[in-house]
Amino acid sequence: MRRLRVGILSVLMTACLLATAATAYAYGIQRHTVSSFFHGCNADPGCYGSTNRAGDYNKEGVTWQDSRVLKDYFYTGVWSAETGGLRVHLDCSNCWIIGTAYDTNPKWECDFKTWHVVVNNNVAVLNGHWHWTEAATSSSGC
Amino acid sequence: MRVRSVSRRVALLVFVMAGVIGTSFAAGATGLIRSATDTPLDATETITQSAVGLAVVKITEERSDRPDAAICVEAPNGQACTVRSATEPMLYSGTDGQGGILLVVVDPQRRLDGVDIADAGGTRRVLSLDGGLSVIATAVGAARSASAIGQEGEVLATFDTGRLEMHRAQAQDAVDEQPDH
Repeated sequence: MRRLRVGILSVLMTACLLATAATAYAYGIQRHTVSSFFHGCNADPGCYGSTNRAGDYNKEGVTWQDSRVLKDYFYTGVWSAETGGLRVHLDCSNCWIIGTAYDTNPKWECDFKTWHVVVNNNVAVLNGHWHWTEAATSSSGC
Repeated sequence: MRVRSVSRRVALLVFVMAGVIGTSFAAGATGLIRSATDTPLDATETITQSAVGLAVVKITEERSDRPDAAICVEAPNGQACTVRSATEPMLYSGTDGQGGILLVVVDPQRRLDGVDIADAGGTRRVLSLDGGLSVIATAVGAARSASAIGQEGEVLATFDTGRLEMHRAQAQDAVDEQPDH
């Protein structure tokens, strides 16, 4: 009975540790794949853990697919999560990667979210959806 | 005695948890665990550079022999890329920071004579200044259409420039929704 309890506890602890590790890693990279499209922060500059300075384009929303096969259309926009106001948006046709960059002045740093769309052959292969683009220094207020 | 043993186990558990969290977060944040997909573009070099109002726009090319080497538009607030082997031109459009829309057409095959733009100011042709590789223009308000015209007068591509506004409106309608991830 004691062995069974220890075994169950070990499995639960391992699962808990793995989940924690995955969450921490995902938060570190802030990047996800949906419908085979990568999107999220670019590696450098910006994203969590970087030093936010005026002019360093701290917030980026990038969408791309490894294959580099051209798609009909990409759209990416960055909105303020606090006010819901549009900061920057753009699109491209016959392209394979798109990225928006928005300089978040450290004096009014706050959370942003990006909207991603990819269309190919008149079909949305990555539907419009929101993705958090978290502040590098989220405690500094907006 | 038993209390001390339990305390020791709890301390060990907390220590292990802190180590896992710290290591995983650092790995993600610093890029210690990364696949090739984390660097979608290799080093690039600038082919042409133009000033449109206050905005500086660059056309860059990836330093690579691969046929799908990237040819990109780099504007102050964004970037988009096609590939060297593309047979159709690419259109990049986005806000120019001064209330207008920046339009950039890139033809990797260097066939562009210009781009016919229809907007609130009428219809006009903006010519390529870099040997047919690109055309950089701004639209007055929202452009109704843009057509890439080749050096023989042929239409290389016609772009639906209204999609930028359509997708902005869709996103604005959903702006109060929580992000999916």
